[in-house]
Amino acid sequence: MADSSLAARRWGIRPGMPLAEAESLIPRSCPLRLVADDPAADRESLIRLGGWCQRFTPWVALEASDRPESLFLEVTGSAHLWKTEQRLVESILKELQSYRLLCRAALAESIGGAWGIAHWGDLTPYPSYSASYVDARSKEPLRASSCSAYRIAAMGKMKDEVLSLPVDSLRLAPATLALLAELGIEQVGSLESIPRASLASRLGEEALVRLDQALGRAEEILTPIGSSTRIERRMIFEYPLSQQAFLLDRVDELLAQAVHELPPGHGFSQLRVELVPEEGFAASVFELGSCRPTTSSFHWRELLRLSLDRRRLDRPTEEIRLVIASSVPFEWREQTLFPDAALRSAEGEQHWEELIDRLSSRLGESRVARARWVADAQPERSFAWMPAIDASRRKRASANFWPQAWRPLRLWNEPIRIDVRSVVPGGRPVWLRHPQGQDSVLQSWGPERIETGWWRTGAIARDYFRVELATGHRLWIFQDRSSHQWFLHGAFD
Amino acid sequence: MPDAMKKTHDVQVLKHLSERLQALRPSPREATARWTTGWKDFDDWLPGGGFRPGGTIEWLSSGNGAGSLTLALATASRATRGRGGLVIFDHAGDLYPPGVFHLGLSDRPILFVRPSNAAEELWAWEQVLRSPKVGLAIGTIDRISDKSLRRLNLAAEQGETLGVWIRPDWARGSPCWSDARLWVEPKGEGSLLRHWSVTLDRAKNARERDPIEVAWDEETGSLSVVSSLVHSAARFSGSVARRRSVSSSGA
Repeated sequence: MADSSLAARRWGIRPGMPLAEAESLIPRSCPLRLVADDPAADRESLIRLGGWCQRFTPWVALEASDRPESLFLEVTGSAHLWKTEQRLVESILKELQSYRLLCRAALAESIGGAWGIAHWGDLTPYPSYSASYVDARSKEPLRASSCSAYRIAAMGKMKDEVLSLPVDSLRLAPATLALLAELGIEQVGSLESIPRASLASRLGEEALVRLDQALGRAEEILTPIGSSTRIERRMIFEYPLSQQAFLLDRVDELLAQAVHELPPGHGFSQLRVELVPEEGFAASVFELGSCRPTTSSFHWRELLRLSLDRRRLDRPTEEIRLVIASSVPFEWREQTLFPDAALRSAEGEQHWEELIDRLSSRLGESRVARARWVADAQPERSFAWMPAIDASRRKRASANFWPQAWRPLRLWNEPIRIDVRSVVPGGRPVWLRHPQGQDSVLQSWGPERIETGWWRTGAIARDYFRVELATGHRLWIFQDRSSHQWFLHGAFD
Repeated sequence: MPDAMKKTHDVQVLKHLSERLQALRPSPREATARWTTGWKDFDDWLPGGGFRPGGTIEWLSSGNGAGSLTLALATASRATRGRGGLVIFDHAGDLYPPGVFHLGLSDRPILFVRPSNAAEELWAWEQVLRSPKVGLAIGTIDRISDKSLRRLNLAAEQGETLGVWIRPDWARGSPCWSDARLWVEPKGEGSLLRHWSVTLDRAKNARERDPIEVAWDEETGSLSVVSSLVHSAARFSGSVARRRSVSSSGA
């Protein structure tokens, strides 16, 4: 059972229950209507409902989930049309009720906060007299889940409300929720009180992101409904094409056709080109990306040319398929009092992004990257590469924060086993044999003890030393605390 | 060969050599424009008083942990601050971003390029150096042909980007196409400050310079010239001589 009606729940039928068990709970005299679970149809219905909701605000987005069940409405600029936020929310609920749709609504300063309060907050029934409704069969008052309800988090008070909610309100993965239950962490407030570094290492980065999103500390990107337009174009040739120039010309033609179908003021930042050879052979697929939305056929042609330089076609092409998965509005840049400076800056940004596009097309997106700090004590896991093209699209800074600790410029993923001698067992290194030779140690700084939690697979416990050899070379070595073996891990190059 | 013909031939050779010399001479703009690091003693020591926009510098390293990359990155990034993005090449895949950002580079756009083969690396170097919005491109280059190096020099000039290459010490004997080739040797001092001896191996249109010893303070991110190795040695021997002469006169 994916879900059940209110009437079915009165018979004890709950989501997640096997169908046979549900059927056994219903008396034969009572008609049970079964409807096949269709997530795609549910999603389509929700999108249609979102389109209908655009009468309240033009900015309506679908929840980013495999099985979305919520709509987000950005009402910052439209609430005043209803004079108060309460009137706006009540209007939404009233209109939905006229379609026999029950709704739980919350208005808050962050998307995550509104989601959490709507699902797990203490809501006020709507209309207010519905609180006095009594179930005809059980003679008990109807719960908030049986009628529409809402809550408006007062400005500046949302954080307190979110902190008092259960951790289920954070949209975490079931595995994370299960781990939190094992650890006895039930409320968001308890989670917030744990140091961030240990939170990330124990629960993963997702928990931090969700917590920050709920408390309004991290931005959340949602695509408004109606802004995406999938466009597909194809061209079949009577005779297969093998020359790159001809192929690029045909892609130009298809692009020109596709661009006409885009909504006004829209471009696209991802393009999929499939070059299909004769029947029986796999198509060569090129996923092209651009930092900013554009319709410039010259730009896309150049990116495809660079990709073709990297991966040559084995067979002549019989068909070209071109897919624009979604369109994005062009960015408008504010003019300043100093147009020359603004132009220089805008042009500069464009040059920089074009360079990223070109490098990513030829080398591969993962090979043109920005670095991001990861809250993990283990040195080799303390950063992550992020494709520069993605970072530019999200306008996310690559390195706003990096801990100020002495770290080498080079680090080997696999530490290299070395021989180290000390004056006393377990003492400081005084001599070592490394891949370049053997040297006495002039000076050492340390130990810096780095340990990861016991709960993690492959936990480490290491004592790191910065050592200066007699030659002046500086290396980063460590002693494994369990095996007492020494390793070379990095070089202060 | 008759005298007249020989004379004509000699004139042609001289003219040809003169043209080649002209081609090697920097343009007036090249001669004047310099990006300085702000560490005056070090700038004064560099040929031309800083890095030339669109120029290239080679730093020779004596192996892992020698510190050439630290010194090259610290000086070049400071000289190109506010002049565009920073692109770091990492073909070996062992560059460690926490160490890079510890040098205080987080206030500018930084791109890490990690090509998978030599051909792609050369192509990427050219693209980056030719881009007008890149202020500094830096990375390790091991084996490369003279022709490719010349191409990279031209690309850097076109984009007015500073190109900095860290090369192994065995490249010391190879022809130098860059503005300068600097040989870095670490000096074991046993202190928190890192000491290097820097030698100007080769430089275009610059007179020979004495090697210098520089000290890098990782904590404050500052570089100071400790001494000019040859001059200091000369000064030291001079003072000893004077002391000797004083004692002998007193005797």
